[in-house]
Amino acid sequence: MNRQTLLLSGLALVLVVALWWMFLYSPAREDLAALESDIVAAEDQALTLRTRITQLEGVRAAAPETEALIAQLSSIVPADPALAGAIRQIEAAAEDAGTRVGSLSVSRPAAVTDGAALHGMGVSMTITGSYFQIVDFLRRLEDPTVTARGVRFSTLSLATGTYPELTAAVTGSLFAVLDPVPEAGVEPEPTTAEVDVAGEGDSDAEPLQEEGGVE
Amino acid sequence: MSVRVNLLPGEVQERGQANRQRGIAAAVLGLVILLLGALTFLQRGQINDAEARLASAEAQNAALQAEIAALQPFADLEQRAIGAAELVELAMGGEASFAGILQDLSLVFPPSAELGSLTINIADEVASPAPGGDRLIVGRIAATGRVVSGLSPGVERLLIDFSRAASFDNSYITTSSIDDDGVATFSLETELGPEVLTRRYVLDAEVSP
Repeated sequence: MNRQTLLLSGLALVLVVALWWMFLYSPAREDLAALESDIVAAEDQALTLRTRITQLEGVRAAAPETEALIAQLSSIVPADPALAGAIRQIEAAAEDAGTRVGSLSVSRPAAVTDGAALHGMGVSMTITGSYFQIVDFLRRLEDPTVTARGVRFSTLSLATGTYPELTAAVTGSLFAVLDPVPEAGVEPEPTTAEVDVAGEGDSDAEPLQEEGGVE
Repeated sequence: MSVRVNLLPGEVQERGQANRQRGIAAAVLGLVILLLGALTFLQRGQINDAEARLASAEAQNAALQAEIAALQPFADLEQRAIGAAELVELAMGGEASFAGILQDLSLVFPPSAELGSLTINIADEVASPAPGGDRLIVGRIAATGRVVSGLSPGVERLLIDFSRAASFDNSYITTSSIDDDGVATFSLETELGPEVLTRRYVLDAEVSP
């Protein structure tokens, strides 16, 4: 009888503890672990958000400079062919360097990659001047602080003329951001617009003639 | 001297002992239940505390999100700047300075030589290093000209001077001939290394051109 009571009491105790563990303690412990995990995630997110706010406050503080940078980048690669401005800048560089632009041809814009907004326009020109005048002309076109429009040169051929003059034939590319043309099978238009620059370096007197038109 | 004698029957004594044992067992069980209840209460408190901390953190995050939403125009501005810089990098990232190449050429071209013609080509894609070499080739120069002092020291000097320019690599005289006056006519080719690239539009170098 004594032993039986002791055994039953022990069993009842174990049963109570087991039930408590299964139905109260263990689920609550899982809930607590899940909550702690959520808190850690929320704190991590807060850290990320604070970092982003700090970053955006930096952008806000530098907004005028960023706007200026966007304007500068938009001048390098404008949102339209802006051929008139490009011709003016090339002519100005030539005049400032003391060279003469003999001819200038610009092809129609073509997407750099299929369906891309970035379009390239092949440009070729001939320049006459001394060696270092031609170097100065190229430097003026390459330097974005002197010539806003970006020109990427790809070839240059120098040939001698009447000393000290040389003639340089330069090819390269101008770029513009244009709407991609999705249509296929449309009859292609002439791909080159040639601009004859008369006046030989005198920007005030040059009649510009465009053949084929440039958009 | 006194003698204590238990006059109760043995059954009564046993029943009393059993009752005491049951009482002890019930007390122990009650104590354990009480202990478990206390543990549950403490755990519940921890959960309540954690829920409060989570609610506080979520409220703080909501406030931070609102702050970010207020700064959204500047996020858009940042995206516009990044987009514009990426476009410019795509267009102009591989820019080579032709003025720099001609400047380098003028620095190493010997005074005893004369340039007849010059062609510079920059490749659209940067070529892999030649076998056995580790330098990238971004373009080539082909030149013709004359040297007054013959093959040596004239053409020899030309090659040595060309090797002084950091951006010129693998200079070769492809043809040469000497006339009766000792004037050597030459054709020269040289490769252009990555030093001729300006990298001013490359984003990881600098966003601002």
